[in-house]
Amino acid sequence: MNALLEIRGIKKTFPVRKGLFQRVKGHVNAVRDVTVDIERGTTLGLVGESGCGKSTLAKVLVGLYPPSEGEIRFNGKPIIRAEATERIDTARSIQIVFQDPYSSLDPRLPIWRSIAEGLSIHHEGDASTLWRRVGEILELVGLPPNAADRYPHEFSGGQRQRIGVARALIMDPEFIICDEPTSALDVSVQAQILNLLKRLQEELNLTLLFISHNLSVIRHVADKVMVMYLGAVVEIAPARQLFNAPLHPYTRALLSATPIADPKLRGRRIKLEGELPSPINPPPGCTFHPRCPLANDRCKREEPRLKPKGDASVACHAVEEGRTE
Amino acid sequence: MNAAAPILTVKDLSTWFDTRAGTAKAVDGVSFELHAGETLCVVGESGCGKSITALSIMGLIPRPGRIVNGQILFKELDLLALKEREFAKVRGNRISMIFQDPSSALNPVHTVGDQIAEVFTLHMGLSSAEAHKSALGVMKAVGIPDPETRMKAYPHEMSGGMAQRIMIAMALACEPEVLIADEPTTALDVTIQAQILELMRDLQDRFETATILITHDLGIVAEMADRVAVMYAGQVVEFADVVTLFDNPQHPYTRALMRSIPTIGAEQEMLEVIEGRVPPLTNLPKGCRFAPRCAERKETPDPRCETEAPELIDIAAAHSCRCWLRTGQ
Repeated sequence: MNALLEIRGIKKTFPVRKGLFQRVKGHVNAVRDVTVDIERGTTLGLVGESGCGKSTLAKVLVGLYPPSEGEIRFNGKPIIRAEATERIDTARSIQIVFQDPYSSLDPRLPIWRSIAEGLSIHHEGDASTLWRRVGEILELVGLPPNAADRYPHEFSGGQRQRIGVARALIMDPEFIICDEPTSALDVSVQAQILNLLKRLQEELNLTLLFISHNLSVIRHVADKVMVMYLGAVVEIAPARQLFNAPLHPYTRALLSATPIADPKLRGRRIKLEGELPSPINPPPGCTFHPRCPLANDRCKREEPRLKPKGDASVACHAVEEGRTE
Repeated sequence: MNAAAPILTVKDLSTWFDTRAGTAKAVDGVSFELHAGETLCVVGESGCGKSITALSIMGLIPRPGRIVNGQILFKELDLLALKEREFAKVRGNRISMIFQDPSSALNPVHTVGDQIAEVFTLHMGLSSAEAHKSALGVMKAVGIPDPETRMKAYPHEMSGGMAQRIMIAMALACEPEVLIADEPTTALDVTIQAQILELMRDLQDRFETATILITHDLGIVAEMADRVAVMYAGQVVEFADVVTLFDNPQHPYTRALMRSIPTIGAEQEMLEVIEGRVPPLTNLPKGCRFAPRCAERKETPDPRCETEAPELIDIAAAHSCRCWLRTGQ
């Protein structure tokens, strides 16, 4: 297996401006040093709570934000430092499916226009080719071909998300970022979309980055899972291992906090005190230490680095030292 | 299950909305009883009528909705017969509600301390100073750090979890006998959700509050419920205690719903899908409302599924189900 996407030391900082003259008063480190490979044909699951930097990372990957530091290689070619023409070439191969199928489609356009927009921008084919292509893609995502000239409001949430998937697929991408694609949907519809993505991945040999705050969903789709907290990666591990034997105290708390649909497993919880600290003014040392049951003096001073441990990588002093309290 | 008289009795409640497309039967013949200290979870997907059931109990049905039938008894008090002024004395005092999105349910131009204090001046006739003291007390009770400072904060200065704690503080200010929580943690992160659910459990233990918890998340149901009502297209389709519901679900919709969610403990290749979609409430199927999507019906067909609406019938002690395949004969 070779890596389709190599993410190397990506950082993204936003200035915080305040006051009458909008002076820069500080910085938010939205993404702090993410390094990970995504192998061809696999799914990397990305979990974390709000403000952990997962959506910022997605936007860096599709080129909506330039990274402050770092490099992204696609098929071995650096795409972030590439010249404009090269960038557009590779841009087609990286597509994104957004969370909210209601706000990501233009309500004034029949859906075939939204789906074909990518092709039109890249000046591909005449009207009849576009139309034919839209028909094929609609069939692929399980919508009737006559859906093409209907408008977004005529579709249910699940169907709209299929349209979102169609819009990504029409560019023949190798890599698709799914940013919370099912969180706005009902559970029975969620199952349809998850199954669709799984089938498409097999048929088209797609590589996926699947972002979700829902661990059960990540468990279902991912081969490898990356957990982020306050902009940094705290753990990367093969999915089965991460769920069976999570290493980082945050991963463990996150798993434990997820309600499980079995009343007999009720009430066995690692309780996490406090809330996410502000990314503008993160705590010194390990950013998780104010909420961590294992934190000691070293954790308050020194930021842990992501280090390999077996098949996983984890950024935690306690795990490294083998400390359990 | 509980011999004592119920605190809240909902009998045959129907709340309909007159729309241009026809009459939408958002809630259609819902009945249940709620006892002190128990948590009843109402679970279902969007549009199943769970929120409208809650708003009907609170007397907060928005136009063009109207309660066309049924009875809501709070102890001996017939809520539907109350005048608005009388209802206002019950609402927020003896029956309270927590909404899904705390940031939109709080008033942005008043400090949270003032908003909590208002509950006390309004319902208990306390003076402003006393009310603020009591407000401080409930803020402590719901675990808000540094409550003296937080009193003076505005809603936008609070995180979602803090704002939801404020909502809970307001709802519990008068120690209500019934608390209705409509998706109280849907807008929150999971670690914060765990904190809020634990807070609700603690407070329930302390005050014996009867709780109706509305959710679409079967994980939360398993975590919190004593009894569960599963709703589909405006009706309760299955009613059971929580262990029975998860061990031995009977209605095809409940079963399909449970198999459609991915679970952390299991590896599943493909998830079970419920085909089709919820029928429009203005144009419901003639027979069973779930029939067009029901997979079990295809295996063991019953002609009544399409022609005759099934009733909610007891199939065991404290377990009822609305399905011809289970209760027919």
